Amino acid sequence: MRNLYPGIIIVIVCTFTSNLYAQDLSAEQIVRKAEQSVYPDSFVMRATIETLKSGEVESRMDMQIRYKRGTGTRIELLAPARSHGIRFLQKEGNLWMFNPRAGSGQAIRLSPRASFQGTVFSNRDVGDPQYTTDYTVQVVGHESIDVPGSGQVNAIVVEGLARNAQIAYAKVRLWIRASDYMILKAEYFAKSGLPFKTVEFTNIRNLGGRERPSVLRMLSLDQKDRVSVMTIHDLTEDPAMADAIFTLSALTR
Amino acid sequence: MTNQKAALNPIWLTMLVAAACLGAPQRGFAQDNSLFGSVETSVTDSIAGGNAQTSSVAGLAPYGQILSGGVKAHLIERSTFADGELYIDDTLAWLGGSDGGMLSNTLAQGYIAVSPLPELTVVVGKRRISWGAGYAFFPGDLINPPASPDNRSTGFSGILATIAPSASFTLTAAVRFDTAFPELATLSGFTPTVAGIAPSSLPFLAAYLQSVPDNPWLSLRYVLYADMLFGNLDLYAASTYQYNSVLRPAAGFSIDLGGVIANGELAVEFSNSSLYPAASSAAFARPALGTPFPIFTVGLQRTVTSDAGSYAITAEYLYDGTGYTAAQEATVSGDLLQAFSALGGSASVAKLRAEYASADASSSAWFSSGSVLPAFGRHYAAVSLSASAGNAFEATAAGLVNLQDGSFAVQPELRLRWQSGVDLFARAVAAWGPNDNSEFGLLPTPVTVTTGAVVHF
Repeated sequence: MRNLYPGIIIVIVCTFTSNLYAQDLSAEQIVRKAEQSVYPDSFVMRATIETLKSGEVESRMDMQIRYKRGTGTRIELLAPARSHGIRFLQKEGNLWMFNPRAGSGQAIRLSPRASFQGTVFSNRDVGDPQYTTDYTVQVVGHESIDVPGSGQVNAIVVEGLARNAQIAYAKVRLWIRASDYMILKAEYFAKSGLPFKTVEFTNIRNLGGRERPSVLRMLSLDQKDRVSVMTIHDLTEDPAMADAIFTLSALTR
Repeated sequence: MTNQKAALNPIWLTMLVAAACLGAPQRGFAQDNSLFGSVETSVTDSIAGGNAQTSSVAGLAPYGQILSGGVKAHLIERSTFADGELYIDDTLAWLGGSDGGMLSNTLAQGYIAVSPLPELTVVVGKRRISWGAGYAFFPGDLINPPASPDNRSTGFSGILATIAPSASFTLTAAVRFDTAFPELATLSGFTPTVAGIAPSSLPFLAAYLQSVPDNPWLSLRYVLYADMLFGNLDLYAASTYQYNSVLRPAAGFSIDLGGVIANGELAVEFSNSSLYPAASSAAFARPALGTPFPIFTVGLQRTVTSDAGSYAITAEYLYDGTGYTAAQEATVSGDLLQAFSALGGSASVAKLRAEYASADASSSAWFSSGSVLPAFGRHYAAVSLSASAGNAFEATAAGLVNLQDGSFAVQPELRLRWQSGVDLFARAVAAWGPNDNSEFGLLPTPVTVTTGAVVHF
């Protein structure tokens, strides 16, 4: 029993200091750090989104995603074959799609709030994963939550309200690991106030030079047997990415 | 479908060879050299409708017989290199029918893009400017080849430069060469089609009225196109100019209104030598050079994608102010008849004059020896509906209505995503209207149904 004391003291001290540290930061700063724990400010990544219904794979898409904070997101589908080459451009809450296979040489403007290609993710979830730009956030408490592979983890709970009606969800609730501000889980709410979707950030591994979650598991609370899983295969930070990539002219090239 | 016989231009042939020399295309996540596309095989049948004159003129087979069948390969090759990119979008098709087969090649786009600076891209080759936010109508677009709702993928041959000082502002300057050197355009004979139905033409008249000046350099066409994004309001402004032929400034917008995309575009034609869409064989009108002729379009589009499927509704209206007013027709027809007569058509002039005299000013149909000059309207509507269920089934329907005379063309299509990468489809095309003669040809057209399979790779 005496041997347990140092461990208990360390846990208490760590929890206390991490909470103190968290209290030094504003809610926006905490969420900003949480965003950076998932994605850097400018990157290229390759990922797969698999949607399962009742445990069976309904669809699978491979894609390349380019993102630059404050500039835009560009997604290009690489598989399945019938979708290869379809591109999306999202910036300032606007979304365009270009399909080089179609007879249309035009980029088509879409609503960013809609589902991304029939997955549980919305266009905005895939294209612009920035909570601080879309939501007004505040810390609402602390919780100890069970994280697969890590056991019980002390988390800061932050809630965010959509800054405008164009945002995909009216409210978000985030669970952020207090020790390093790694985002663990998020819950998204519809305008009615009811929970709509949840996303879990798991399988932490080295991506783009630091530890990041590599699997995002999005569950629909409307259709409980459907889940979409985004697996990040590789991610490269690219601070020198040109703004010109995120133009309609470049989208249709 | 607008396949046409086209010789493989040496420029495009060189680019295709260059693409092949860049190495075997890779799949999966590789983006340095990417080849994808589809192979489609189909048969087209005439199942009902149509008048005897239509069948006679078009040389159609009796109902129930296969009109044509064929196979086409659509290839898109994209290769990136240091600060540049080679892009080729090509369709090779073989179409068989009762009168034999025809092999055709259509190069929709084929160009080399180079970015000497991050903000600057220079493109040489055949390229399309993605114009505005419309679905069916692009009043200011006289740089891309004539548009139609079912095929707008073809680019123009020339050179263009795009400057993007920020992601929210781009300025494009382009020079189109194939207006001066038609041999550059493998689709130089492209005519506007609606749901696969091409209007009739009077080639000799078009040749007379669209004659190229002695100095081809005077026939280069220029465009400046600027695109700006302010919040969720996308604005664009453009101007197209060709010596003694085109002067058409335009401005447009699109805005996201809570999930409904509204768009509009206003163009003003000062030269009036090009109707909408451009390069129609009927683009002979120039009754009032220097007089501004407005052309505008407004539209709404709603696309919803949910867990269960998606649907999209698009509706657009077009007012086309170019061409003739009733008063102008009376003035110009005299010149037209003189031109016709000078070309050796005197035997038919009396008939032409008689038909013109008895025709309604807004929907007149002018007959000559077996050819029909289509009656273009001033008010149009385009509607497109599509719905998909899960990942398996898709239904679309596109229609274009000439509100002037009530004629309309429709193209419904059903598509089944049968296997991974394999689609089965059935598509019908038909046009009807209260008058026999319209811009869709002689009405009603037979209902044709095309069935086929597409393998994507």
